[in-house]
Amino acid sequence: MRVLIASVKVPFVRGGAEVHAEGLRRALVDRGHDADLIEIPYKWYPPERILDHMLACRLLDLTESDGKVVDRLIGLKFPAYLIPHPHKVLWIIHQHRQAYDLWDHPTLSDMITSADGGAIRKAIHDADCELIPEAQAVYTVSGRVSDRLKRYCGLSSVPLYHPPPGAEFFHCEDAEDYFFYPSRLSASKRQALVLDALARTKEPVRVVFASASDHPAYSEQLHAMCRDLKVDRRVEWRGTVNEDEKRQLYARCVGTLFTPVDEDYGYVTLEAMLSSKPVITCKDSGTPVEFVQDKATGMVVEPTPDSLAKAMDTLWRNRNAAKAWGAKGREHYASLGISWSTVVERLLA
Amino acid sequence: MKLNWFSPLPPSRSGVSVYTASLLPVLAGRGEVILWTDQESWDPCLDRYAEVRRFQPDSAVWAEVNRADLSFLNIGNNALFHRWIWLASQRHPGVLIVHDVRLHDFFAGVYLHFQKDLDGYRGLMRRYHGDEGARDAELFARHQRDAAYMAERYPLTGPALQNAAGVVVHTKQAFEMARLHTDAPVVRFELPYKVREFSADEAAGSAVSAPDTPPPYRLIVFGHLGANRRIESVLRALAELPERRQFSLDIYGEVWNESDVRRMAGELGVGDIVSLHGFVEESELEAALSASHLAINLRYPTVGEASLSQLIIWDHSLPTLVEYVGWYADLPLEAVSFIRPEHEIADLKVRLRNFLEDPQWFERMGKQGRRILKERHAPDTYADALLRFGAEVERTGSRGIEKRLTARVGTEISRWLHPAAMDPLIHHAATEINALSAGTRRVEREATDQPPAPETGPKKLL
Repeated sequence: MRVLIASVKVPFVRGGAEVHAEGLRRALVDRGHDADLIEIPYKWYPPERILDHMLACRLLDLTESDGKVVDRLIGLKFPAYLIPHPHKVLWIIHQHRQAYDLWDHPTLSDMITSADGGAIRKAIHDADCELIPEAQAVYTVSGRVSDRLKRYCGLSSVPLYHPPPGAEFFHCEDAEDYFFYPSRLSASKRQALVLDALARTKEPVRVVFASASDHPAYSEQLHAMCRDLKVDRRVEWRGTVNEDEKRQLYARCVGTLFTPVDEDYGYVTLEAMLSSKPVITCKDSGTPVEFVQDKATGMVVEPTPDSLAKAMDTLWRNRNAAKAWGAKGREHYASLGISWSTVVERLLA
Repeated sequence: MKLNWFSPLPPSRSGVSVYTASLLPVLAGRGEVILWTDQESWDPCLDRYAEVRRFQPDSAVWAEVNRADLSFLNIGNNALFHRWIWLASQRHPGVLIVHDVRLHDFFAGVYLHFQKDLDGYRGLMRRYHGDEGARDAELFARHQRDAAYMAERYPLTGPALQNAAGVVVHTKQAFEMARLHTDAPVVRFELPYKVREFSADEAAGSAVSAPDTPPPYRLIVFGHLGANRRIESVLRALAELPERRQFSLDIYGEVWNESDVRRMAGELGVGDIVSLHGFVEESELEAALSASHLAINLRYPTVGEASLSQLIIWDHSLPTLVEYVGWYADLPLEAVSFIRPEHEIADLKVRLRNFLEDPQWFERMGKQGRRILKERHAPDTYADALLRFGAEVERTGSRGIEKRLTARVGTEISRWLHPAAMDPLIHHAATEINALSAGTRRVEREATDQPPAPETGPKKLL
């Protein structure tokens, strides 16, 4: 089949969604399909700019390319999933969350502070409610995303999990003295919460952060926090690391930290499970909670510095438990049957 | 339900502030109301019913505004009271409650008085009323055109409504005009008024019973007394009436040309039966109304407003002489007596003679007025209809989004595409703009005490 994957691209920003789209393309090609990725440039501020992008997507014609029919369009992200196509299937990574669950979020929303934010929010709701059902089938990347789609738009969908990139290369080694938090430095990932918690641990806990920063200001804020909290000697900022380094850091950590706000999917949880490492996450972290079994494959705690500090101390002190929970996490991953073959089969059905 | 309510508030000398104060207890019984104001102080009684917030157009305030379910913004003809609300409405689409639809005075005040921007005023007039409008704007700015002329020829309703999600008016004339100037849903509701509760004694004699009292009969004129209130015609009619000694005339409120009125009354020989009281406290005005026999409530020209003064008059069971124009011309015949603008002085004399000949008939007129006030202007009915309309507008969405996208497409393609080649792209864009907002449905009907029902036909853009 000739398959187009439609997503959006914020120039110079690379995260899980980009990896996801590339992973899908590779999986399709590996299975003999002619697949390509269309990424629409996306800018969401000021909020009225979103409307332009929505209209731009609607004006695209991807039914054919170079005189050949496009058999299937797979829409991943808003507003690219609004692109019309007679044989469209959606695999939604997320909707524009500032119009939904993050509308009134104290730090992650700028739509509500815009004079016409309410009208733009409603326009997004209307478009989603009206145009998502154009698709022949609607899948999402997780139960969390499906829940939101049902709650806010009344639309049913099926969660479809996929493996993280290079899933087969993750491995486990003896633990060294650090927790690993591999995620973009971003307010939505709450690295600041981890620093607050670190300052409250009773054990000499260390944390290694890896990945680039979304915004220099947040990065500066985190470094300032380290100094103020006097934990800078217990924190290591590795910045962007390559895949081998990342897998090595997973393999040798005591456990993995992943504390986002209502994450849509998040490879970190799955990568930690593949590395046989326990995961500490928060009750409001979204999809990680779908995967982590509290006190069996990791810990699911309140999103407070004290709770998080207590969890880190627990695993720091009980390395045997950490090792056992990690092993059980790997078993749990295997039991979920997560594979690209399943994904491709469903999306092209 | 949480409501934003943008309005001037008491003690500002705005009729809209009186309207808001009278409606607030009823609204507060139906939801949480946030009163937004630009005033530094307000009547503390309002705090019993609503949280009052100072409006500053910054991001924190918009976040607070956006947390409410509905926004109602009151627009009137006085730039002093309504400029900030109009500015807010340009950025925040909500339901506009338009108290005057002929808004030339308002925009002249905004541009010439507040912004000292003659070019902006001229540009606005040119945009909405062409070169002739721009020429008259120039003359008006040089005091060579009067406000009545400008309001009649150049209503400037459109720029007030351009970002409205819905529009509420109180008169048929306003309804028709608003429909011409917006594609947002428009509804008409009767202006609300809370009828005073009288004690048994007051009820028996809430208006002085003309047959039981000897002349002189007390005539009353009150309110904001601009040139369109026809004080000069009233003075002339009295002067020409042989039976003028059987009347006295009390004028309450700020008269725009008070010294001229005093001089004219003296010259016409009615100075001894005419009293100008100026602006007085509400209690003093109430007492004066209760002691009066006949109210004269003329407007010519009218700017399309409903008269709160008329409702106050009816609340005192007073018979009224009104001009046969605008909202007034639709008042029930049994509750008012009409004065034709083109025969103003002659008709006034006839009506005053009618009063002397059959005061009982006029007394019945006043009682009918109070009955109508109770039946048609009940605040509860008004508030219910208003909230139903607001909810419907919220559900169906603002057409501002569609207009913005349409303008964006137009702006972009007009820069590089020849007009002859535009049609297919415009058609495609229009189809997709409709598709993006297909969850919305247009509502547009005239209503009095019934909730609006949505129209369900396909929408057309471009």
